[in-house]
Amino acid sequence: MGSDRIDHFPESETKEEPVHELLDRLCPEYMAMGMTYDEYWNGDPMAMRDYRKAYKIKTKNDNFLLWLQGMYIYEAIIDIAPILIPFAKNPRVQPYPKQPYDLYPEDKKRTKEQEEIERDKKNQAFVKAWVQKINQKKGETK
Amino acid sequence: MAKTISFTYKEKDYLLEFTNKTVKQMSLNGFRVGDLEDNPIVALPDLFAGAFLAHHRYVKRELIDEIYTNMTDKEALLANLGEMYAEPIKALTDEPEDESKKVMWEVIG
Repeated sequence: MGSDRIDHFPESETKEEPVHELLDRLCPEYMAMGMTYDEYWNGDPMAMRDYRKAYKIKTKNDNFLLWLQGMYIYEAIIDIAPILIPFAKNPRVQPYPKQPYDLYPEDKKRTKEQEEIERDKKNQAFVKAWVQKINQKKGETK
Repeated sequence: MAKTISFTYKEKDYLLEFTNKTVKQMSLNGFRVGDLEDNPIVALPDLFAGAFLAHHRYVKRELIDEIYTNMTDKEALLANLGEMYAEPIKALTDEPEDESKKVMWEVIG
């Protein structure tokens, strides 16, 4: 009876650790991921999956930001490196970049293209209106 | 969203659901998934009663047993309750889907 049903259960309970201990043990870990105590114990259990996924994304983003920061520091050191060389003649220091890296150059390219298309459309509309005006004037004189 | 079961008994609406708290409480009370196979006569009503803890904590066991006796399509009901009970534990421990390990399949012909 219902043996197929049993197959759906996770292995966690068949191992040594009882479910209540597993739930107690993992509570602080989920709280570290941003879940509240109430959400963990009384909320929709499916939210735990989303919290885990969100935490993974957040960690990935944090890692990228740390890498980016390292990149800025690395480049800054390279830029000032000439003055760190003893007895160098006229060491030239590169100024710190005025703007941060452009993280989405594709978007910029796209907006430029869009601007060009819009400009063309405006020009075409202007020429059309001008031609119409001339034609109207010709009609009136006839 | 986690699965829930709703029904009306004697003009009162009931919503059955499992949360981490109720799963823990059931585990502390001695409920084991293995009991569903080893001792289903006792375990199945216990599973049904456990589903009341989230939203109807103060309903008496006698009434729950009465409702259980009158429930239709018990096999499907218990299969769903079993899945619902497993959901929190699964959600707690399973790994996020790894795209690279997914096996894609298709019907040919």
